[in-house]
Amino acid sequence: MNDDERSKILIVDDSMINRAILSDIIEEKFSVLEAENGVEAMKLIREYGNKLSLILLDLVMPEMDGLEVLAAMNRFNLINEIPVIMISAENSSSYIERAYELGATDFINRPFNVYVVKKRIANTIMLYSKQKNLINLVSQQVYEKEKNSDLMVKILSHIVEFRNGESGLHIMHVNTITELVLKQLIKKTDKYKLTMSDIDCIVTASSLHDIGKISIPDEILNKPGRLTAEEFEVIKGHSEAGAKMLGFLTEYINDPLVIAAKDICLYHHEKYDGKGYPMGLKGDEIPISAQVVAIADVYDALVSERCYKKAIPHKEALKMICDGECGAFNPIVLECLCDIEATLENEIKVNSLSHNSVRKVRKITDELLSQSGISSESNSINYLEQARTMSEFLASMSKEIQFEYTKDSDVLTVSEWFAEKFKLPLVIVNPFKNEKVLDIINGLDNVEYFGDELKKTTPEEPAIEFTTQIKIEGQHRSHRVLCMAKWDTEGEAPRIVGAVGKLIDIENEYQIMADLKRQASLDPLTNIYNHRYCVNLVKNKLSENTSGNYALGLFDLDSFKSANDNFGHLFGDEVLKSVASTLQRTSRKKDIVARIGGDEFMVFIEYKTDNELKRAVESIHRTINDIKLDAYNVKISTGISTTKEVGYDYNTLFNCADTALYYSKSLRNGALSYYDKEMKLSGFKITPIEN
Amino acid sequence: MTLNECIEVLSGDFDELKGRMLSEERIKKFLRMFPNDRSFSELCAAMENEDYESAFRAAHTLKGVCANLGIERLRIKASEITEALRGNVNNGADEILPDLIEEYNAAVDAINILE
Repeated sequence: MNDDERSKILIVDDSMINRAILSDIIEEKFSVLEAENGVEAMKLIREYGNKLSLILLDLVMPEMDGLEVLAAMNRFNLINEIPVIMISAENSSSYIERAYELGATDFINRPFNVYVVKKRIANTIMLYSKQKNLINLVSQQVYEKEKNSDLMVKILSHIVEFRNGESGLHIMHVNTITELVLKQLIKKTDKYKLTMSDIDCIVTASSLHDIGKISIPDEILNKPGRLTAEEFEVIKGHSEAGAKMLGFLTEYINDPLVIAAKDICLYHHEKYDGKGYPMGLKGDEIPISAQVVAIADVYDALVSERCYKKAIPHKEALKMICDGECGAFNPIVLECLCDIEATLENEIKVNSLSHNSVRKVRKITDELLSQSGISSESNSINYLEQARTMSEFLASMSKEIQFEYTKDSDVLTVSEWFAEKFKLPLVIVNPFKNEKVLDIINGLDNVEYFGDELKKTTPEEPAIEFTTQIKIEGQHRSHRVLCMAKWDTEGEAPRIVGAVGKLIDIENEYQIMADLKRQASLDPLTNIYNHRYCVNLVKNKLSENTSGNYALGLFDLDSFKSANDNFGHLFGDEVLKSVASTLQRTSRKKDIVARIGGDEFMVFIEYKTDNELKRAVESIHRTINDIKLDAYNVKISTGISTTKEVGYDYNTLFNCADTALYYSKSLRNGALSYYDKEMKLSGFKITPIEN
Repeated sequence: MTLNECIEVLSGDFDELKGRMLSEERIKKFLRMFPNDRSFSELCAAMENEDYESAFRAAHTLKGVCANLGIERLRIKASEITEALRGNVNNGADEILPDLIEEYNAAVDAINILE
């Protein structure tokens, strides 16, 4: 092995003999650089940077002494990168304390003991490489976590944008403006007690401000013209609907991101003077997060082009907001928006999503590491202990399993919490003959797969990452595996001697995704499928099986408007809920039930005989017509079309059911009609079943 | 002179030294380098120039080298003069210097006739 590949150690001592002795002790295993004073040392330290594995540093030297070297390494941010062992006979405690304060890792005293010097150097280097791994693991973990919540946020905000017909940039712009305004705000006042991580959280959550719009019917949401007062009332419902959706994330209800997102959803249309909705909150009753997102939302809406308006120039938009044309805002938030005016225009142009995520991950990693006190720890034992506690803590928090496998001794070491939970020893000898272990990792096949993946690594790129399922308490759960092969490069041919890594349980994230997708498929008022989702389901069924018998039934409430008019909207909602739950109850499990908007419902029925269909449809129709809420009798008109009659095209099936429904409606008294060809040819042919 | 005898002349503890350095060859190798070490001449020059800051550093370095190599009697003198110079003042260093020079010469003489 040549000099370049061996770890480099820098010896800094003004005595040539001392350097020679140290060099003699370590040159067998390391490549040695020497400096005879602090100035020379700093030259080499800056030249080699973190390619140096260790520095042995004398305290008392001419030109620049050891403490000054430590101080300089602090200035250049190198003290966290390279471990420093001080050498001295100087046992005055003030020197020692000062050196530890400045980031020295350890001390070696003169006279040198060859064995102690070797051991201490080996330990320090090992410790630092462990720390570096740990830092990598932590930043990877932060990145993973960010990726998950980012993904969730992206899915949700895309659903909204997709339906909203807004440019995909709106969400991103709201993110950026929110961040700029909040950062300006904390410069101006500490009234709101916002930390940098609060700001990050609000910025991420701001993406979700409009998720409630999922619940708004398309025809209102995307109506090009002016909204009627009634339609506007419907739109207003999106604030509460959004907060309600997030409330479904029961497992994450205390997650700061979800809390912030709920506040933002619910309150981003409140106004400072109390004239907003839905609560009419005033002043700082409105959470600051919602106040800032509101102004960001308004500003970006003004400067962007929409289907109903042209883009308004930056300066004009700002003036409109300041003049109160878009409602009242908190004066200090307004000030912040004006302060950042210059950057606002440009930032919005250059901002890109990937840039955003990378920046965020870096920031969080830095914060985490600076909080952990990794760099200022004053001796190696504490240091190791802290690293261990921290990683164990992180592991148990996130239910991740850390492991280390050594090939030669065939020994597997696992996280404490994991070992405890599964009554396994911390150190498992011959793990792949252990039945418990094999059960958890789903058998030898998985072990072999793992082995094959490891063999694909190289000493330069030892890391691998993949998703697998492992068995926790009899339940298969998806886990992300992050793992690093341990390569031994001492011998002639490099070989893998083991692996170290961790498994992260990502099953919950999968579940959350599934839940959110389900939420997006439901009508928020009645909790049955919404129109959009139902159409897809039905279309799939129709294309899957073109020999089965299907019927599509449309159900429309008669005189629902009078229920609203006479008893109020809340009562109207109760009627709709009651109809929906009756539909669900009276239909069979394999039928698809949906609210397709307003007071219209759909049931898609699979059947074998005409009699079966007739029984099913009549039962639904009759049961709904029997509903009585207070003094209000529900009356429903029903139209049915069948694939037998009109074929398997969804639109045809739907239009025919609609024709039959229209016919039933014309009869006025809760009628049920089946569509047939003659109905179209000869106008309407009546098939009244009831009354 | 054998290594053992040499260390005896220097008042070092041979067993302790060998315990630390692990091999006699290593001890001999570095003892032979000692006469070329600059810290003694730097100390003398600095004392001459009344540059007590440099004198302190040189004395400190000499003390360390002696400690490493088991040159015990010189180490004691170097240690005394280091303390006398601490804080970059001459706090009786002049009086120690002649003894230190004597010990240095004795040590170099002994090392020069090492086998």
